[in-house]
This record gives sequence, C-alpha cells and structure tokens, in this order.
Amino acid sequence: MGIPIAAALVAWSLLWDRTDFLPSPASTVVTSIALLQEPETYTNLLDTARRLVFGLGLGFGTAVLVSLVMRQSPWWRRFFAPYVFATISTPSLAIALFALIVFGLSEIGIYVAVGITIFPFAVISLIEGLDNLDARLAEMASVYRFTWFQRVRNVAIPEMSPHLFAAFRNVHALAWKIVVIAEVFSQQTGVGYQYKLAYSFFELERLVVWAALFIMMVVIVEYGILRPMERVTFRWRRTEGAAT
Amino acid sequence: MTWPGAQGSEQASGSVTDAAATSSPVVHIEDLAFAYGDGHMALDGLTLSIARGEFACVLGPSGCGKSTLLGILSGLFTPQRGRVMVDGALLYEDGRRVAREASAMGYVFQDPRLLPWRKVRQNVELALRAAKVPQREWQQRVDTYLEMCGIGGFADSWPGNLSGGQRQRVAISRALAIEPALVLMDEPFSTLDEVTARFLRRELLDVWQRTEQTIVFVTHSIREAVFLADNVYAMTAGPGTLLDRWPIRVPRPRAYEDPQLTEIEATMVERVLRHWGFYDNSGQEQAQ
Repeated sequence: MGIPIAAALVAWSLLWDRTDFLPSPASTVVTSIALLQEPETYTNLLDTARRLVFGLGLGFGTAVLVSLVMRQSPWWRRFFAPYVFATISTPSLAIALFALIVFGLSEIGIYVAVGITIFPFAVISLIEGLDNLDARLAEMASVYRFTWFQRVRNVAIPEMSPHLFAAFRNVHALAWKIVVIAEVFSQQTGVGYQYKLAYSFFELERLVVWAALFIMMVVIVEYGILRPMERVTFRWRRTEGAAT
Repeated sequence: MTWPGAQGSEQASGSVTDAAATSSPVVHIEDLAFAYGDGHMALDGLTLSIARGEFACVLGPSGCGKSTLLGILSGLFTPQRGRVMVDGALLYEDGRRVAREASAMGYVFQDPRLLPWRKVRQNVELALRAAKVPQREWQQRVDTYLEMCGIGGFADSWPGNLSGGQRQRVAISRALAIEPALVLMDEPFSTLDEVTARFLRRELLDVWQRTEQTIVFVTHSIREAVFLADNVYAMTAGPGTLLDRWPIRVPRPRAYEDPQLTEIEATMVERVLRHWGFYDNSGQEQAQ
C-alpha cells in the first residue's frame, strides 16, 4: 500500500502546478492541520459515522429478517423477490432522493436511503448462506435435542458467519458512499455537507482533505473492527481439514 | 419363512426366547412400517426386542431401512404404523408420536458431525446441556468419557486438528457421555480405514462393557456384526422387516480373526444372501 500512495504523492507534487485546479501539496497540508485542530471536524465525522451505523443497522437487520422469512417457503421467496430486484436495480442516487423527499430532510431519510440501498445485496448473500446450511448438523442438533437457543448460538450463527461477514463487508463499503451522497442533499453537518461547502467555495484543498479523512474512517472500521472480529470468529478455521 | 441348515438362530415370526431379551427390553418394536414422502416403503412389519445392556447389531443390505429404524428410534421420523417403546415409555403408536419430549439418545453417525467451531470439550458439553445434565457434572463426564475413548488429551483441541478416527472417538464420547437409555450407531466405522476401524471396534467393546449401556449398531458388514454383537438382527432387503435374530454365543474378548466367528459369518452369509437377492450360481458373495 505504501508504493501506490508514494506514487500518487510524487505525481501530485510534479503536476499540480501545471493545472489550474489541483491545490498544492503544501497548502493541503496546512489545511489538513488546521482542520484536525478544529473540534467541529470530529463532530462532522461522528455525525457521518452515526448515520452510517443506523442506516446499516436498519438495512442489515431488515435483510436478516426478510431472508429468514424467504427461507420458510417458496411462496415467501416469490413474494420478496420483486422487492429485491427493484431495490437492486434502482440507482442509489434515486433511492437517496426518494427517501429524502418522503422523510423530509431529517436524518431518518438518510437511514432509510442507506437501508434500502444495501438491503438487496445483504439479502442475496444471506439467502445463499442459508441455502448452504448443512442438513447433517441440523439433524445432529435435533437428535441430541438441542434447544432453540443452542441451535441458533452454536449451529446457525457460526455456520452463517462467513456469509454474514461477506455480506456485511460488501454493504458497508456501499453504505458509506450513500451516507455521503444523502448528506450532500440534506444535512448541515457531516462529511457530505463538508464536500458541498468545499465545492461551493471552490476550495479544493478542503475537498481533498475531507476525502482523505473519509477514507481513513473506512479503513479504521475495516482494519480496526471487522478484521479483528473475523480473526476471533474464524480461529477454528486455522485448523487442518476443518470439515465436520 | 424357514431356511435349510438354520442353526443357532430363531426365526422372526417366532417368539424371542433368549432370557436376556424378554426380561427387560429397552427397545420393543411391533409391526413397524415407514414410508418416505415419495411413497417408497423403507420398513414394513418390523418386530423386534432389544434387552437392556445388549449390544445389538442390525444387519442389512443398503436400502433395507436400517438407518430409517435409527431415525425413528431417535425421534427424527414418525412411523406410519406400529408401536415403539423405548425404556418403558411408549414413543409411537399407530402413526402418532405419543411421548412428546422423549429423552435424547446417543447417536453416532457415519461421519462425526462435530461442530468444527467448538472445541472437543464444548462439543460434548452441548450434548450434556441439551440432555439437562447438571452443569457441575460436565467436567467429570467429559473427562471420563474422552479418557475412556482414548482421546483424553484432546479436550481443548479444535475438531479440525484431529484425524478422522479421533473425531469419531469424540462422536462416540458425546453419545455415551449423556448416559442415555440407548446409544444408536449408524455404520460409525464405515468411513475409516480398516486398521483404524478394527482398533476402534475393539475399543468400543471395552467401553461398552465398562459402561453397560445398550447399543443398537447398524451395519452392512456381516463380519463386523458377528464380531461386535450379542445378537445380530438380520433384516430383509427393503422394505425392511426382520429376517432373523441370531445370538452370537462366542465369549468376549473376541479376536477379529477367530475361526469360530469366521464359521458363523460363513453360515450367515449363506443364509442372508439368498434373501438379499445377491446369490448367484457361482456361490460368490457379493454383498460386502
């Protein structure tokens, strides 16, 4: 990761002066130091993070419920299939605008926009996981009279975890982008709002710095939260031939 | 149903005369019938009794309904006809499940079916919890049975780090540890290599003698049945019913290559093959 970053920095420092739109690296560093010293910067980042968490929670939670219902019978599968198809093929921007019109410019509009956008992707991964559950383990659980709680906690969830993680990782990247788009249209705080400000004042330094801060936030979630969680969850997999 | 040269066996239609089988049967099955959803009859008119503490081998060709029988005993399938009593409780009668929550039975499948994301100890403990064994007894139970099955040192291992034979030992420990009325085993050694399988069969007999549990062991191997069993219950080819109950009166410990066992096996092969439809004029055995 170091080399691509270094290459981009070199290209930037060589080229910025030849364009009339790129800011200079020096002025960008100055801007970023100034921004990092302002407490509002962190409130803005936290606002965006909060909207992401609620939106993700809403969309992922709904997806889990819907995929469990879809698994109950082919009828339910057919019932929900058009919703999955419709939400997956509508442009995310249209979904965001729609949610903001329906729910006004409050934060709820953002939660709904994020939720609707990630919902179909999560459903598809989860259904695939549920379809691949091992009937042999279910039989073992039933022969040994596992309680419902034991089955969920010790059989279903661990068995679904690879799919839960894959689904979550896919939708979490998508969700960040939707939050920012929705913020541009509706909010007075957050990373998206800062983009809008930078754009209206034509301050390219700020745009670059806010983009960098945003990327850092996504990276922290990925490497600081998701990956360590995965390592703990899948420690049993570091074993040879971990088949049942 | 009579067969020429029958010796040492009792026919299915006759009453079971062995004292052990009548004194206190753990399993009593009458006129059992089961058909799968597609109408395929797996069992039709099966009647048998298994005594407490008995090592019973159910022998039959593929598709004779042996595994279905275990499925019924363990509560996975409800039969369409017949009576099933386990440990004094009526489990099924005339196609209805009578005992609402029958107690769990130990079950060893062909494959170990351990939860790979739980350590060996937790795999056994989950069965203990489900069987409502008080938590203070868990440690001792787990240690005792893992030790007995020769894998005491692996309690804190992931199943994925064990060999196939070791995983099957864990599965056997799990089945025995809940100390059920009945331990069901569905060809548990059939996926292991023959050397490991022989070793495990001998150890299983040791463990069984120490615990005095009742084991219903399903197999298609006549030699395996003869080596292990107190009584071999030979089934007809499907839909399954009892062809023959055959007491094996060879004292234990038995040797796998004991000529007495070979002789019993030969007689049994001769008889069952006629009924399993594998007998051809060359006299070649094809069932195994």
